[in-house]
Amino acid sequence: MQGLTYGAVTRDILRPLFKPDAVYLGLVGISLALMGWGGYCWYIQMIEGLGVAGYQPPVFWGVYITTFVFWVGIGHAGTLISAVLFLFRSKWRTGVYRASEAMTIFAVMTAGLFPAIHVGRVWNAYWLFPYPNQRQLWQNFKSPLMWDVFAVSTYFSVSTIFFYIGLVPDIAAIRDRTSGAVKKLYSALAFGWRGTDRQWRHYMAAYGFFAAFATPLVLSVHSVVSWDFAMAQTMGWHSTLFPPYFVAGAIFSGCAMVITLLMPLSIAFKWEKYINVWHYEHLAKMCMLTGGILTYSYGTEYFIAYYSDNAYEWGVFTDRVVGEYDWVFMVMVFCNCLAPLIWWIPSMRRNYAVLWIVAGIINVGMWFERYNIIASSLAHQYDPAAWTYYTPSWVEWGIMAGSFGWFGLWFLLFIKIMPSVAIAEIKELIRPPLKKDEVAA
Amino acid sequence: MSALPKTTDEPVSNGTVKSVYAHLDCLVDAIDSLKKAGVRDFIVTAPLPRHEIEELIYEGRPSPVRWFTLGGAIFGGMFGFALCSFTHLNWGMIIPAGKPLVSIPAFLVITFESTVLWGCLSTLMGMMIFCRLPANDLQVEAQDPRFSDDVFGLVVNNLGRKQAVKVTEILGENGAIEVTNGYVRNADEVPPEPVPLEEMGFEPDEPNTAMLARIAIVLTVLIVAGIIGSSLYFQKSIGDELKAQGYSTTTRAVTPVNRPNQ
Repeated sequence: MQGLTYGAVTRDILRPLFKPDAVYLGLVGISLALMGWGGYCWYIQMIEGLGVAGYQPPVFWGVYITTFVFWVGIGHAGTLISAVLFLFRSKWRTGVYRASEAMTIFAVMTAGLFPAIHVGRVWNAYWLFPYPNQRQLWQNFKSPLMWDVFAVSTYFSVSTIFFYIGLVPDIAAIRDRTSGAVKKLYSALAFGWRGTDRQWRHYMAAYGFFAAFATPLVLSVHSVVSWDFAMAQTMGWHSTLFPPYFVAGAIFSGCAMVITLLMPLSIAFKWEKYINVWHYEHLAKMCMLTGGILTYSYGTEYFIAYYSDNAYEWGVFTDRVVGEYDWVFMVMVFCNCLAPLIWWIPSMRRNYAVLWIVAGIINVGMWFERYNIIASSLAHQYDPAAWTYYTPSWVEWGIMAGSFGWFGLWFLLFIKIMPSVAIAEIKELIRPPLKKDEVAA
Repeated sequence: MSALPKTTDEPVSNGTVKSVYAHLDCLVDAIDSLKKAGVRDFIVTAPLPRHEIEELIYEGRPSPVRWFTLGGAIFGGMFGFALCSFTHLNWGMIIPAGKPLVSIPAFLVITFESTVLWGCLSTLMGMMIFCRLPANDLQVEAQDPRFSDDVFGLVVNNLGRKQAVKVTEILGENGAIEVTNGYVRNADEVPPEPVPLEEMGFEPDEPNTAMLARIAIVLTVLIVAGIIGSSLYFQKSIGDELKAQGYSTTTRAVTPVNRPNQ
């Protein structure tokens, strides 16, 4: 950050706003097309019913729940980077945390669609929330599914507050450089922020508390998601290993997605001064750590199944490797355990092409990990007569593709109307302008 | 994005001196000099948080936002647990295999989530109140767009004509790149009565933390009393109903031990 001034930081970060180029518009078009296709598939499902999904007894959790867990996992890295690393005063977070937080919000918004899609009658989704009703009918708060509703909605609320509060000083900076209706809009969004001593004092205190609240949420939300599985008497799911295993997997996939999204962004916006190989290397190290935990967890799962001497449990785990879902298992192991190993060579985790390709491979692998857990366990339960092979239908694939369009559209809109790098916090990393420095020079 | 002007023609009120600093050390020196001169009613604006400024002005006093955080989190925890407990007690049809209706381990998840959510929401409320957001009525002198870019602002208020001259000198001596005395800029206008120094409070609208603490205690007591009262009511009403149906609630485990055929 040497040689940068406060003014240069403001200009550099705000320069790309409001100026869409052809590539950007093309990406928006692709996102809209995917979203439209996903919307059409969802419409078909609402009209025809859940029969258009590929469910077949006893498999009634499939692509929708897989994709739900995938997006919730993606939503982990943002708050980890913004809150946990804030409390640890980690400097490398500053360049990447804003875009990561945005990714978190949009990923959780995407994830939130899937329970509603999965249950079919989306118009009854409000039954998930406790509200007084004439039948005095209440939710079962002992169910992990209800825990999940509260965990994900709390995570979304807290992450959104944390994200928006961080944005306020930067929105004020945009307000001060625009005019007309745009200025009025950003004035409203900035709540009249002026950066006074009083405002900064209470803001920083509150920001610390938000970070402190968000930190346990990072660990809790995917633990709760894992209990959706671990609390069930289903082979391959009923394990105390699941919470740490899921949390590590979520951070692994989230950090990989941050690399996937930020690398083209920082190159296109010419932000190498703010987001560069130093940041990507740290993200790659996070992936190496969590990927190692994940690989260890895969091994532990098999050891527990073997050592339990439970024929049903061991049957599911051997079926995952040599049964009909063996290809899913192979994809998972290659993408999550083997591919990231290349990052142990320092030059490989500093190479942009390798970083981006491996991060993409991890994203694919983490989707298949959830598919492996969900489909193979349900398809191979206690009664061999009921064993089946679940194949997702085109409607399920379409809705999943639509979720990427939905997520992509939100992210693309964000990067053109809000600063994707935190202006005020980048300024904190720069040595402040001092008279004594000028005199000495 | 438009470039910012080097100077601003925004008005400066009589009784106000506005200064602009390009260097942080100059700003800190100016604040220190103002405090030594007994001037206390001023606003500092900065494009980023700097601990030097906060330390100098607030002398290490912590922000009262923390009381909102604590109160919200305590309320949230109790609310979450109460929500689970009361809804399960209210709907007596849930008899989970002889297990207690109010199950502490199962309800801890919702309790935790509610603690975090309400703690966060109340922190947000506290921050908005103490930052006075939305703050669209902040005095115009502090609304210079350059203050969100690369310079620091120091706006001194409630000055008499002589005080304003003295403050202008202090700010200029400490390296301000721009000092505007409202009396000089608005030379044709009638000056307001100066406010005696002893009547100027130090950050006059600093919240009364003792009062906030008392409010928090009273609210907590009310909430606890409400929860205990409601609990007793529900226990009694549901318990009576269950007893009438032949169920036992003495061990908190609702088991059909008193069925006629057993």
